Amino acid sequence: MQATAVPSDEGASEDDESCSELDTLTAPSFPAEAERAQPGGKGWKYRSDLRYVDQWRVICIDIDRFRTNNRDLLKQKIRHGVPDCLRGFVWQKLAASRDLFSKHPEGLYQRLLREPEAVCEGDISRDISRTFPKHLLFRERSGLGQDSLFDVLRAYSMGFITGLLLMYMDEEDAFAMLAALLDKYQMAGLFRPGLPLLDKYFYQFQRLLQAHMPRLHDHLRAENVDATMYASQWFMTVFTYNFPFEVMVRVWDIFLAEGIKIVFRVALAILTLQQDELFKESFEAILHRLKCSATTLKAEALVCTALSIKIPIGVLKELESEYNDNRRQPT
Amino acid sequence: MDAYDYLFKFILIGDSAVGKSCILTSLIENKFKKGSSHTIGVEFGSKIINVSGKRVKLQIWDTAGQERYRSVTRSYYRGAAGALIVYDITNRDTYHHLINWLADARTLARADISIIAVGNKSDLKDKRAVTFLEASRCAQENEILFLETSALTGEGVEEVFVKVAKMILNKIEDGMQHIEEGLGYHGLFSGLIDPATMMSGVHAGARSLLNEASPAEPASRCISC
Repeated sequence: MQATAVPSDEGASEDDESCSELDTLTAPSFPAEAERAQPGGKGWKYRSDLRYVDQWRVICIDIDRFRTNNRDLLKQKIRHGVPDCLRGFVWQKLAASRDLFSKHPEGLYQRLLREPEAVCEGDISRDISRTFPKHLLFRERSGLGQDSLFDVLRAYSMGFITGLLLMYMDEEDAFAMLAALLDKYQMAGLFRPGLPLLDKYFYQFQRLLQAHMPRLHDHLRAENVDATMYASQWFMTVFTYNFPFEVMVRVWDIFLAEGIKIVFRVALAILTLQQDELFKESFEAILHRLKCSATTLKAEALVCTALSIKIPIGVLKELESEYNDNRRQPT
Repeated sequence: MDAYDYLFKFILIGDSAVGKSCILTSLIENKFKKGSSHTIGVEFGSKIINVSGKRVKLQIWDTAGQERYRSVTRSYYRGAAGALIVYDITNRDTYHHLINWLADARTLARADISIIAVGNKSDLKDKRAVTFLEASRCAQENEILFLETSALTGEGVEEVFVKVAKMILNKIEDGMQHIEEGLGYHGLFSGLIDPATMMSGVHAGARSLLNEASPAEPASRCISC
């Protein structure tokens, strides 16, 4: 059954975490459109792109079943990048966002829209023109995108993420995705007053940095650079703030399939890829580099490096209880 | 070589969407950034300006205005020598909240912090909702400085920073005089900056060590913020 569902499964045999295949066959060319446009990336890739999309089409026929039967294979495929044309659908499946509609058959979204005024309507109006200000969909005031964004945000308020979702799905689906993100992906804690989850992520991140790159950790510390200065945006928007589009969507593919761990991995990868430079720099230059890393790093290299950084799930749990213990102790 | 006499740390605070980030961009890049994103967490910028014959390096933290970021931005008050509380002259609410921001700065920052109220968007004359006079009075009553700016045209932007820097420099001079007159390190208690301590958001740069016998620590590096 598996064989009929997937015409080719070259990904199945590969090492779970490796990126070696990325240079060769199908997958890599697809998501990295910018790279494909470069000289050397000629027509030969086009056919493999088509094959890649075809594979995904087949997967999408019953992605839930495929997910159950071929968990690791699907994980690999997702890590290589979901084809853009199927992204909206796949994301909703991964987050199981449409479950919301079966739980609330009476049209929750439409009902909330009819509320005369949302709690934070003022905040929303202010931020609306400042979310993806350069993207075609959102550039015009009262344009198509800004209106949709406003409507969805009236029910919640997570501008950049919602903006990204609206590029791939309609308002009601984006709304359901947000609900799933807040709930299943625990993002609610990121936005609650006091940003409790962000604080925990910073702690975990700083400890991971210490474990993976002790020298860099010490250097940053000596230069008084801490994670709040550069990583708030990474964690709060899951790289939708000021990151190139192809990086953003690749991270989101993996984030929706595998959870928050990818955010830590990408964050560590950003530091890893630039550590030689960072070592030579002091406070201001470091901050500048980390804030701009978004534009200088290549999507493929970043995702590959991120996936090569191993963070056993137990470690995050351990660090979490360490964090909780520290908080309980009066300082 | 970007040598400087002093390093001052500033923070930009105020309601969401009043133009804090645009003021910073205007100061540093001399241009207005159209279609900028709202700030998440904090942003950072630095610039060396000339104030009363001294080269002063400003390290500026630009904070997110939204209430929910308060827990992240709070920690940046502590190290600041100067604070710019920005409001939008076309939006009275942002002006009314000035008092809250001031209270925040007074409780979270050092006692000797120099504060200026900044009425931004002065180019939007038709939409003005807060007069120059009332804001100026309010600033006087609260013993803080005041200026209006337009991040769009750049009008008043550098002046704001210069004005605060001047005030801090004056405090340093007074503090030094205090010490020279043998009054000891009482500067902190009288609201003056004591240049001999490394605790404040003020640090002497390498240049001042070469030029004059400064009582400051031989460091141009900053301490934790």
